Amino acid sequence: MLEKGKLSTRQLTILVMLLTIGDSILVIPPSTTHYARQNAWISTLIGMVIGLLAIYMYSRFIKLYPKLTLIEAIQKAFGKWLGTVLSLMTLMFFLIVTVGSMREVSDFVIAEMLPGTPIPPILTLFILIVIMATRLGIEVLGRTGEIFTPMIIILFLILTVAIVPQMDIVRILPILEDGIKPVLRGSISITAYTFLEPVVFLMVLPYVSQQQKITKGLLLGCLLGGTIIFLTLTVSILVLGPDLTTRDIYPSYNIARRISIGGFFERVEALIALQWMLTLFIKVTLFFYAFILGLSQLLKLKEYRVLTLPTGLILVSLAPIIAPNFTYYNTVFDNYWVYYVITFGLVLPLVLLGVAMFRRALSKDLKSQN
Amino acid sequence: MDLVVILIVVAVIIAVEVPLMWRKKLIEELWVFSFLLLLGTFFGVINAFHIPVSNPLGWMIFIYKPVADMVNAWLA
Amino acid sequence: MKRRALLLCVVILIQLFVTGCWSRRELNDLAIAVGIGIDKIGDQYQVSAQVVLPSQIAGSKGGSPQSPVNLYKATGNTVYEALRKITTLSPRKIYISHLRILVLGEDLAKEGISSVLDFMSRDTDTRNDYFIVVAKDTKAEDTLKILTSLEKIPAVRLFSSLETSEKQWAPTSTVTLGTLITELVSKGKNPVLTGVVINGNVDVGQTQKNVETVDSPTELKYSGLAVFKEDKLIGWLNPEESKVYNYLTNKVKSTVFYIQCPEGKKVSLDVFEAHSKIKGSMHNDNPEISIEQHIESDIGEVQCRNLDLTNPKTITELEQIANHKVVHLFETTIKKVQQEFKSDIFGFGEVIHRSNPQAWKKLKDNWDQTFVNLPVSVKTDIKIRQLGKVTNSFLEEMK
Repeated sequence: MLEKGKLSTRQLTILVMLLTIGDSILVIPPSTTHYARQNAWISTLIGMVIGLLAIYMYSRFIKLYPKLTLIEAIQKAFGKWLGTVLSLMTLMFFLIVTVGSMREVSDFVIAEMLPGTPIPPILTLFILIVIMATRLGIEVLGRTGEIFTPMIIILFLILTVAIVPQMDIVRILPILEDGIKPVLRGSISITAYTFLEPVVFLMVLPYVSQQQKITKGLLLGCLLGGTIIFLTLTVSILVLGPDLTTRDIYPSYNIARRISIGGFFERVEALIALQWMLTLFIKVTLFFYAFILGLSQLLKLKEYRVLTLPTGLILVSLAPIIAPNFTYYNTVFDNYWVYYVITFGLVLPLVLLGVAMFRRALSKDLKSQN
Repeated sequence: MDLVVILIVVAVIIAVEVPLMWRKKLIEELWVFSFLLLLGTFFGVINAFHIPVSNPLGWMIFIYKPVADMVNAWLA
Repeated sequence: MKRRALLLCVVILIQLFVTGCWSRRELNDLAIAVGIGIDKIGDQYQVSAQVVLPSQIAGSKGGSPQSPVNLYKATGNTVYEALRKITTLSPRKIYISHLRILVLGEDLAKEGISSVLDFMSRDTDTRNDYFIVVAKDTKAEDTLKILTSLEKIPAVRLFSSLETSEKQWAPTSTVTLGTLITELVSKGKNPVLTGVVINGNVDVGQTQKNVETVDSPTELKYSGLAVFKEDKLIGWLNPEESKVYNYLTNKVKSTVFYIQCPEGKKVSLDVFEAHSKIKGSMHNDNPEISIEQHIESDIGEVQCRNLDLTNPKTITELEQIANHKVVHLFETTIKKVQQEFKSDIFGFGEVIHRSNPQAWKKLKDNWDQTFVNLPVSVKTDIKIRQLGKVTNSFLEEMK
């Protein structure tokens, strides 16, 4: 047994919620508002619907591949050769998402908080904690999520409530002025980055102690995380307006900067940024863990902890390389990376479900023939 | 200078992990470990020597360009 | 035991990292700029920074009386360049996170303000909590030279008085960078900025003499609003007209205006609540605007002799007089802006955008033209509630 830990249902819900918030809370507002403008909140709702469908899909997965992680399921469904190839591709997916998220961490920290600091030290500090969390196992991560959650919720509430005086409802009008198409285009990035990335939990589901409550846990986490993203996006439009939300690279940070209560509760943006650091940490750790665990399962290793440090080195070295500048990253992020996530977050699970159901139908057929 | 840092990091990683694997005779793990470490060193060296990589996600763009173009034409 | 020692080492090592020393900026390496002024000189931008001298503010004893602030200025091809050039004069790097006021020179405003605003929006040190004003009949750098009493740091004085006057008297408007950029970009509303003038002599104003006498010889004063078309300054509104702007954009929190009682003398009304509803509609492909202004006020001052304030009919009469006056004021101001300035500063375009989005698509590219002949109907609903501390004025009883 590579992983001896157990997750409680509540921990699963919390982890799903934190992953859904993940990096979306920081990078989704400008991306979605770019296309949907003041109707971006509708895009969020569309994304949430697709997210719920995805959750339903993952819950079917448990029935058809009980007690198997995603990598193990791929090998069972596709056999030795094809299964290995697909598994490697999936593992690469996990790795690339991890690198992307780390790049976002360093971009954010350098742009807004520590301008002069070079990238490697920031990422090294970050990855060391991720490595530590991964080595300690999924149960520790679940508990960490439990500890962080009150703080994250409180900081989020502070941000949302403190900025109410600066909201103006007219900014969200007119509704659907250009029709539904821009809203749909805007909903693509939310669907992918917020609601389809939980596919990584398929690596972790066998370790949940109460298997029958998994669907409820996933669903609740998705709804909670989705609501927070919805509120963040809507607040952004209400306070800044669609133009500034698109123009700013981190509009949520801009909003945090504007908080001013009674003339003394001001300049608290670093506190709010803490919340984002925590959710980003959860996302990076989950995908990092998925990669390490998946690789170990694919190669039938007995020990996964030793792989963490070299992978950490790969990540810290890859993050600066993955895009030569911000514009490149942003363009790929908006236009191509989304479909990469949709491929592994939606298409792959669907294919696996299809194979399993096909096999079942086939074996039933054979049984009835005999 | 950066190269020295990379080498120190690699050395530390080896010192921390390899003795454990050697003692427990985890040969498979050692192979995977070495492969990953090599990859990491490779990328680290690219960073250290500031070798420019102009289109690192080119493969992703190549694979998904048809889909992206179609969606953009339809919806944007 | 060994693990504990290792843990201790790790904890100590971590402490080295979390202090965040890498790109530190020590406080005594920074010159905190509270006011920035930008003028255009020929092709170049002159940036002047009003920097605080903490020792003078902190109220420490002794030392010869110095000015609490210093002004540094430099000229460059871009704003960013000029700001950095200031380091050739100032011993420290200019730090603009605590900026309170940004003054744009009149010449620069006439040429176009958008070119200098990008730097302010892009730089990571800047925030959105300072106000932007235009210097009228003077250069921006001169407005930052005048010393003020009551508030030692002149830039802070500019900030507070703009905020207070918008709240209490309402012919001025506080404009932050976010609002300004949104209005510059929007096709349905053009921006305005408050104008600041210098009453008196600049050379006297920047010396200690200015704050030594009871009546300061030189003062900074806010005048009416500057009207912009696209990003260029095209004209000024007088205080009355500026108030109309603030009424229409719902920025009035409290103000005072007078009406004439039937016998010709004046009554002051103290406005404590004002709310305007602007509705847009399309009639046969032509846009129309209707304005409904609600004002709640108290009687503040009575100069008439024959006014019986205990009689409800008098109050109704006064309300009617007030309605007439305000409607007339609104209509004349709106007409003036339409015909003289041809610039939609009231945001009527945005109102049409929200009420008839499809029609707006056709109108938006030519909006300033359409705005000139836009029919605007004004209706006011002024209510007089309280009378203050006394009922009828004692003037009634005087012989």
